[in-house]
Amino acid sequence: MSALIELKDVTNRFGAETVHDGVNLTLNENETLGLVGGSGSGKSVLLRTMLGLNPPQQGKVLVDGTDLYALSPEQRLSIQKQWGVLFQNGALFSGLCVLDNVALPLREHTDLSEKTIGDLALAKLQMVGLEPDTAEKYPSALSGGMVTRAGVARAMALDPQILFLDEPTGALDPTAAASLDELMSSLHETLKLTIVIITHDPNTLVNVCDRIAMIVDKKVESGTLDDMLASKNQDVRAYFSGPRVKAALKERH
Amino acid sequence: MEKHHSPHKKFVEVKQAADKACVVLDGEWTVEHAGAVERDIEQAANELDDRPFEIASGQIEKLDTSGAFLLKKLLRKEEPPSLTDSQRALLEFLPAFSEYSPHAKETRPAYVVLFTRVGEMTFAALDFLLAIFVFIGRISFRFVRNFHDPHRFRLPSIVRHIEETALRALPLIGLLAVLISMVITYQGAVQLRKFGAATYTIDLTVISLLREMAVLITAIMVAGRSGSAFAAEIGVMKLREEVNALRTMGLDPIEVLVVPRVIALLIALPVLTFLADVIGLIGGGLMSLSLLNISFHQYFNRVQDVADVNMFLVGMIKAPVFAFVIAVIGCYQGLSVMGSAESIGRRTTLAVVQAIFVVIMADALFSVVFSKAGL
Repeated sequence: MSALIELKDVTNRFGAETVHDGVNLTLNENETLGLVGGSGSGKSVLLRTMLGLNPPQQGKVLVDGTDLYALSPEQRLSIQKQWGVLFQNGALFSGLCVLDNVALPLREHTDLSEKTIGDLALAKLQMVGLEPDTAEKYPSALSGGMVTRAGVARAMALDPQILFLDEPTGALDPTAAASLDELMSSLHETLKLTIVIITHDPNTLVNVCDRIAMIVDKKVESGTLDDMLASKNQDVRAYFSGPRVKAALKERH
Repeated sequence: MEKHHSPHKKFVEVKQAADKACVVLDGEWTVEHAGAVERDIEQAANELDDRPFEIASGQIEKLDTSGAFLLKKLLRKEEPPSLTDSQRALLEFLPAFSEYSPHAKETRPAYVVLFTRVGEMTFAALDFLLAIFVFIGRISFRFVRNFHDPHRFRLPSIVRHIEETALRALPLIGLLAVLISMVITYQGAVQLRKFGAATYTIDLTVISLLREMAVLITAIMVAGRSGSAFAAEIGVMKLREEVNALRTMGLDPIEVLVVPRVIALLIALPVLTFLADVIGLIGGGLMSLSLLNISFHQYFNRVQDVADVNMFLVGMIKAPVFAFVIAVIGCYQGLSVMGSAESIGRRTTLAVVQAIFVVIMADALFSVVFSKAGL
């Protein structure tokens, strides 16, 4: 297993407030990494740092061994092209219909015919479980769950190597969340995707994630779920031995 | 993008066997090569011409969802070729191939479309007019109701909006007033000198500034600055459901968001107009000094001869009317925002354009009324 992304001693500060103080984290190829932490612990900031959108005050983000923030803008873009991102509220382009949201990266980065782009975008929408008649709807007419699915379809448009998901099941009902968990697992298995998921959902952590990274005291502790349960850190143990995680563990399949 | 793939190596190649055509698949079927794969498939389909075919040897080296999608399109009913297990799983994972056909746009004769559009726009304009009057009614109702309980006027909010619309706009409007009066004085001096009436330049500057220009320029600036800000602020609050949050707390958005803005602008615009008058007169004085060699003392003597209280009031009386128009249209457009970020942009533009349009219309109306009244 080789490391795709490595965070080395990353420190993020906003004004006088330190969010991350020397974070070390490795994302391995072909794994599903769950990123957890209390509200306001800087999960989304850490994700943005990984994505090259938020330069850290100190430390490095290594992608395939090279420092992401030392690359030229063009080189960085060509790396970012191989990543698919679902932002917290979907971040669908509100001026485009769902199909065009998915078709946009295909139009920009491939030389497929317009006809095939439409068919392919439709296939991606069906792949994430959206009905064909949502294709021509605008994001403002979608429910939260549909926005999430459309966002995943757009993130998958260019067959990324890594998929980043920021709270994908946050706005979903239990059935929809479960089917999204299933979708993530099958994407991981069939497409050999590496997935990073920011989540609060114990079921996602238990059923989808191979490894978990938790932000505690401005640092990151990572390991498998069992490692986390046996952690020396009081806060980590408390997080994973809460009733909701226990319930999820009980019905683990 | 396709430089990884040597040109003589094809993704899809058709070979003729005795009874059946053979198709050989090769290469990396990934999104980077999707365009070339598609063209190869098209070419192969032309060569095959609907004859049955079978997939012969050959191995797809790499397959992703885009590649699998194209493969599915090629295969239709035929048996899949020799694939690795994971490639087969991927192929099964994709939904059945279905074509995307955008809803066909309705085609109607041009003249029908023309009449329909004109009709729709007419009714939309009437609806808008009605809605604005209803909106003004709701504001007036709230305004009167507020007197029962004066703290509902929300003094802190009014003060904040006065700071935002008047105090912060002052430098810009002062500068514009000086520039406008300088331009009028300069143009007046050049033209009137030809008739030997250069001394009347001051009359021209004073009259046009006090009656028209100061208030009009101020109103147009405020429409662009504050009318748009009202629409955008309230629009974003509407989109983020802050307006609904207010309603569910038993607060009327008109009372909390609209009335303070309207009152603030009703105070701000007259103040700004008055200051524009003063600063504009000083600008005219500067220009007279340098162009006509008229001292400040003489200039202001002349100003006092020309200007009377009525002239000043004719300008000032328009200010609150314009302020009301700008604030009402800005707030109305803000509350009409729906759905997307695009809507905020459209509504903000509408707020400015409509406000300036109505301001100029009202100004024309005032001119007619005042001239009939002999003012």
